[in-house]
Amino acid sequence: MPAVLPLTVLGVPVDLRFTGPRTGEAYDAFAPRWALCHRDDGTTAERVVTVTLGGRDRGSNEDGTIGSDDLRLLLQLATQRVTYQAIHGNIGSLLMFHAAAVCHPETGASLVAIAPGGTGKTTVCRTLGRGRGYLSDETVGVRADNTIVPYPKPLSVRRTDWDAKDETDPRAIGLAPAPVTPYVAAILLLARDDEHTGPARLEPLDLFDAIIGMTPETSSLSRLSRPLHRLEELAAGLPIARAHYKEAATLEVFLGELIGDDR
Amino acid sequence: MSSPVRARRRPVTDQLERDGEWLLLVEDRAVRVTGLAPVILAFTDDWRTLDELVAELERAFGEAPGDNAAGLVLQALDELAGQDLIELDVP
Repeated sequence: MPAVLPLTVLGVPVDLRFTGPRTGEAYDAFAPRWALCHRDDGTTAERVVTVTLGGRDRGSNEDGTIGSDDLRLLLQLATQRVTYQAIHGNIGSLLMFHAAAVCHPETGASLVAIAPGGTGKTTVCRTLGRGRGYLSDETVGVRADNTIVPYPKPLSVRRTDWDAKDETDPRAIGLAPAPVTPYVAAILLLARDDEHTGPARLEPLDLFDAIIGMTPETSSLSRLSRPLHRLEELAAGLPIARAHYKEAATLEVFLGELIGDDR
Repeated sequence: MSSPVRARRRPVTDQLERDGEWLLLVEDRAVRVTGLAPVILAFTDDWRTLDELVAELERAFGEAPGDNAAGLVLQALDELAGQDLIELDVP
């Protein structure tokens, strides 16, 4: 049984390394969930997340190791730690958003749905992602030419009956990786509201309001060169709106206009 | 009697200007400033006295209504200081 799961996350090589008495069980749980991020170039990554299922190492430790007897919790902790490595490896290069993204499977035109944690990103992917390219439910990295570096991580599904999130294999719910290079075609700032009634509504934003809305949901923005100018370049000519809605499915009607409706 | 208050803008990470409005990045926070504020920020690249600021704003906008130009500028300075965009020297 392999003790290492090599991944590419936001373009960064990261190895998940398994230790402890239940290594095989852990590997079998992690491998399918991370299959869309698998790296097969035979190299060893400088960035390593060490995962221990069972044994004495518990919690999320400063030395980069994580451990638990609870596989569900371990999966969640590992996702957080791997995402941290992905973001850290791209500081100063990629423009990174807390966002979900899906793309048109033939053109690569992508919807980037920006939102804080726990406010609808994963649900957008589960609801709008089938038949499209799944790019991420957590962190979207944008290159200087506005193409997107996919991060098709396990979906972190919130469940009321679990303490941990349900780290889910994207393929198990019908999601597939992007077959073409994705690029940013539209940006929505998600404003999900349980009190919202009627169809979803898109509120167009001017450039400054769009940037003010995006900025809190960036990672290490100030480490980029001329970050506001970078956001201005990204926003130029793009539809950017705040999406007011209750159910993610009600956003589907806008996707044809925003990224094309073939799926 | 002239006020001893002086003001100087704080450095920001980046800024955009459009239609007389400025968007400033302070660490990872974007702040939009309008009205008197862009003129104040443009003028306070070094320490400026309140009197100098009033004169500069009157050049840009004309005389303030009433007799409270200094009060209006102080109010604007307080707001900018609260947003970490300007530092005040109040002896």
